[in-house]
Amino acid sequence: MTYALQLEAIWKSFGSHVVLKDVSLDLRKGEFMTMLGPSGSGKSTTLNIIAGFYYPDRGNLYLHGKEIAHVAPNRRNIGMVFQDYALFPHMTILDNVAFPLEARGIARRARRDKAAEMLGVVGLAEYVDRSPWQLSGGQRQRVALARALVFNPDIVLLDEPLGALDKKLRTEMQIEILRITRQLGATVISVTHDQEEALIMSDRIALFRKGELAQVGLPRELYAEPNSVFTADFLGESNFLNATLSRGGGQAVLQGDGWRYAVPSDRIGPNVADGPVKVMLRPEQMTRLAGADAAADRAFVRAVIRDAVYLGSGIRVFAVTRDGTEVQITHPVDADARSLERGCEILLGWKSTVGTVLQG
Amino acid sequence: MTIAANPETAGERGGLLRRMARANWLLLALPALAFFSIFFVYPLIDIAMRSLQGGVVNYERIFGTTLYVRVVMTTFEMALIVTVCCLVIGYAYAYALSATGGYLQVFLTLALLLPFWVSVLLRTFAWLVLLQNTGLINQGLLALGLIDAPFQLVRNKFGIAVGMVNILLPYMVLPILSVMKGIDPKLMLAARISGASYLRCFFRVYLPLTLPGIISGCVLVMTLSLGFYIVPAVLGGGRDTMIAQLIADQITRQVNFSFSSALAVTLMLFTGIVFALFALSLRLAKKRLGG
Repeated sequence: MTYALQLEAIWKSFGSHVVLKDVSLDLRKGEFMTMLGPSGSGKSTTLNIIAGFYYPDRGNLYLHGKEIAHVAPNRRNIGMVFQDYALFPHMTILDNVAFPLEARGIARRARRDKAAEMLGVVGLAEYVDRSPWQLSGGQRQRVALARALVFNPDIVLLDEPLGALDKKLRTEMQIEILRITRQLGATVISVTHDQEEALIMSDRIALFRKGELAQVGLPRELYAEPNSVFTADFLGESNFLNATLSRGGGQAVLQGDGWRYAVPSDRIGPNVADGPVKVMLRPEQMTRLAGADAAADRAFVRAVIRDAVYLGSGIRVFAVTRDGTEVQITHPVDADARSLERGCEILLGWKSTVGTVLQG
Repeated sequence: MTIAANPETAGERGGLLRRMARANWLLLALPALAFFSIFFVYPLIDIAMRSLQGGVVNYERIFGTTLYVRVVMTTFEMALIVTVCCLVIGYAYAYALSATGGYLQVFLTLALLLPFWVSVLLRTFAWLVLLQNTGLINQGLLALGLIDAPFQLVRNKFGIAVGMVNILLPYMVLPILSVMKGIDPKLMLAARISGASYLRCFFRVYLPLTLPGIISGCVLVMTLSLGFYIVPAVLGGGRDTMIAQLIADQITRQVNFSFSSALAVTLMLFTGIVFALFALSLRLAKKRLGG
C-alpha cells in the first residue's frame, strides 16, 4: 500500500535544542489526521518540515512514495492554511484563490473559472471581487481553505486553522472544513493544541510530547486506551489513583490504599511493569457510593470533598484521597447533591472492569 | 441633573462645549500659523508677485531660452537619476536591514544614519577630494596600474549623482524599511507553498506590498533633489547647472530679483506637480492594499 505521506525517522534540531526525535508517521489517502500536543512539543516543526519550510536533519519524507525531504516548498504540491490565513492583502479574493494556479502557469481564463468554482464550494461565490480586509474572520478562513485546495494538492496542511475564531464560529468551521475536505476527498494534516477540536475532526490523532510521538491512533483509542499518563492527562479529564501491581497465574492484582482487586492480566499493557502503577479513571467512570454499595465487585476509595461546582448538567466534585491524590467526578443533580459539602468524606467507587493501568 | 432632564439643551450645550474645545486646540496652532504666515506664506506671495512684474515676460524668457530650458531639463534629469539610484540601492539596503538582526542590524543602521549628522557641505567637499583627478580613487587606480589616465569622476553629472545619492539615501531607505517591517513574513511562505518561485514571490507579493514605501521614498528624494544647490555647485561642471544654481546666480550676480523669482516659482510649481503625482499614486496603491 502506498501512503499519501510517510515520515520516516525525522530528526530536527535548532542549535543545541533537539526539537524532533525520531518521528515516524504514515498518512493514508483521504485521511484527516490531527497533530496534537502542548506548545513546543514539535507538532508545528513537523508541519513546517512537511511543507518544506524546514529541511529535516535526518530521516526521510515521502509524498505518494516520492522522496521530498529536500524539495523546495513550491515544488511539493501541498496546500496550506495558515494560522492568520496569510491572504495576500493586495489581491482580490478571486486572485488570492487563483494564485496557486497562476504559479502553475495555468491560463488566466481557466484559472479564474477554477478559482470561482472553488469559492462556490466554500460558499463565497458572491465575494470574488472583495479584498481580504473586507471579509470577516470566518470568511477569510474559507478563502484560505479555497486557496489551499484549488490546485488539487496531494495533501493539505492546516496550521491551527481555528485559533483566531471565537468559540461559536469555531464549531461551525470545524463542521465546514470536514464537509469541504471530504467532498473533495482531500488528505489533511491539521495542527492544534485544542483536544476537543482533535477529537471532533480527526480520523486519527498523532499526539506529540517533547519532540516525540506519544501515541498515534483513533480518537476513541487515545481517549479510552491511553498508553501513558501523558496521553490520558492531555485528552479529557482523568483521575490517577496510586496502586501496586503484581502479576501471577493469569491474574493481575491491584493493591491500593484501602482497596484491592484482581483483573485478568491480559488487560494490563505489556509495557507496564510490576510495582507502583497508576489506575486511570475518567470522572464519568467513578460514582459516589452510599456505604452499603461498597460491594466486592466494586473498587472504592475514601476521599474528602474540597469543592463542588455546579455545571448545569451535573456537579463537578473535587476531592482528595487519603494519600493526597486529587480526584474529580461528575455527580448528578439529585437529592444526594445537597450533602456535597466541603470537608465531607465520601466513598468513590468504580467497576473493576474499567480503568486503565499505566506505568506510574 | 437639570441638563439630563432636558435632552435638547443638553445636546446644544454638548455641541457648544465641543466647539469651544475645538477652538482651544486651534489656539495652540496659532503661533505656528502666525510664524508661517509672516515668514513663509507672505514672502511666497511676494515672490510670485515679483515674478509677474511686467506680465509674464519672465516666464516667456525661461521657456523661450534654450539655455534656461536646458537648466530645467538638467534639474529633472538629475532628480530622476538620483531617485532611480537611491531606489535601487536603498531598496536592497532596506531589505538587508529588515531581514537581519543583532549587531549587523545595528551596524547597518549606524552606517545609514551617521553621515546624517555630518554637514552636507563637509560631505560634498569630501567627495570632491575623493573623486577629483588627483583624488584618492584615481590615484589608487593609477598606482595599481588598472588605468592609464585618471577617470573624470567630478565636474560632471556622475559627480553630482554620487554626492546627491549619498545625501539622499536615508530618505529612500527609511520609508521603505518601515513598510517592509510591517509585512507579515507568512505571506511569503504562503506564496511559496502555493507554488510560486522566489522570483514570482518577489514580483507578485513582496514588491506590490512595499509599493507605498517606494512611492513615499521616491517623492521625498525627488522633491528634495529638485532644489539641490551645494552638490551641483561643488561637484558639477559648467554644463550641468541646476535650477537652484541659476536662481542664486541671478540674485547674487545679475541682481535680477524679478527673473529669479520667476525661476523660483517655476521650480516650486514643478516640485508641486511631482509631489501631487506621487501623492495620487500613493493613494491608489494604499487603496488597493486596503489601508
